This record gives sequence, structure tokens and C-alpha cells, in this order.
Amino acid sequence: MSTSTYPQLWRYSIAWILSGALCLVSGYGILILFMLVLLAALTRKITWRQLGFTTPESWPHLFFKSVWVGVSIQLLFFML
Amino acid sequence: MGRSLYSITVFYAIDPTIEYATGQSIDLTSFENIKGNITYLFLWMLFVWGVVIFVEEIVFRGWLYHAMTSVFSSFTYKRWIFAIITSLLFGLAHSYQGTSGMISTSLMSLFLVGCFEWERKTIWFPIIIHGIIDTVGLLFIYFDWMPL
Repeated sequence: MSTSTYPQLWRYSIAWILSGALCLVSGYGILILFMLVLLAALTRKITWRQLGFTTPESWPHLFFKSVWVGVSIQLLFFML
Repeated sequence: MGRSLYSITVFYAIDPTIEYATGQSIDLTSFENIKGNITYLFLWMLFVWGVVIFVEEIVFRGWLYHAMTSVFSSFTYKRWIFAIITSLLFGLAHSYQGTSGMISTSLMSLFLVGCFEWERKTIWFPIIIHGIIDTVGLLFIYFDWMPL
């Protein structure tokens, strides 16, 4: 890791500690964290692509695959 | 296919094992009002598909996992490190489900991170899967097919 990334490491460590603390307070904490991430994305501190918002190759394929995986997991989870 | 079968096998057996190990069942009593009540079911569905899946996936898979792995791209084992930390925090955020619930949701988070990586890092895949899992769970509670 180059020396230029150390300030980033410091900054992101604070972000992680803040995230952990907010997760501790459950639902409201996550909502606050979400607002902070949303603010960062809207002010372009972070890109939408960095958050995973990319266009899938095929929407129908993605949707059916999601349904298949999601239902299988939950049904088998319950059946036991 | 192999990965899906592996995931299914893990979740087929993992929750009873957790409950046996901790001696506590997963506490889902917060959802008790849904049982047989179509209005609450509808409101919860709206909340899940309109808020929960986006908030949780953007925060946990989008920000805490994906954004962090891209920022610290030079780190060795970054995917594993951030997947584990993200999942622990996801479990912590579900502390209302008790110890077993926290362990179970942490493992579910690892599975969703795996799905995110599986579908070439598009967040839409874990978002839809999360919605489906929650929907099936809510329907089971509504029909009283799931012990709370």
C-alpha cells in the first residue's frame, strides 16, 4: 500500500467504526448509515457504480435467477 | 449450479444446528402481528420492497462490502476480510432476533455477498433475492407455517 492511501485508511477506519456503532442501535442506526451513504453518492464522494449499481446483461434472466435462488433457499430452510 | 447447491445445503442444516448449539430459538416475535392479518402483511410487504431491501443492500453489500473492496483494492484477501466484517455487522443489526438470529443473519449475509460476486457485482441480484427471501418468510408467518 502506498503512503498516499494512509489518509484514506484513517478516514475509512472512522467510517467503519461509525458503521459498527450505528449497526449496534439496529434499525434506526442503519437508516442513518443509509442516509450518509446516499448523501455521499448524491454529492459524488462515491459513485453509484462503486455501490454496485450496474446494468445486468439481461433483466429477465436476473429476475428469474433471483426468484429461483431466493425461493429455494427459504423453502428448504423452512422444510427442515 | 454447484455454488447454488452448496448454499442450499448449508441453509438446509445450518439454522437447527445454530439453535441446538446456542440453546435458543430464533426470536421472530416482532413479526407476530402479521399472523393471519392481511393488512399487516400488506404493510410489511410494502416496507420490505420499498425500504428494507434497498437500505440493507446499499449499506451492507454496496457500501460496506463493494465500495470498501474497491477502495482497498491492494489488500490481500480483501474480499474475505470485508465479507466477514460486513456479515458480522449485518448480524449485529439483527440483534432483535436473539443470538441464534444474529448468527443466522450473518450467514445469510455471507450468502448474499456470494450472490453479489456470482452475478458480476450487480447489486440488483442480492436486492431481488433479499426481497424474495423476506416475502416467503412473511407469507409463512402470515399462514402460521413458521414457529415464532
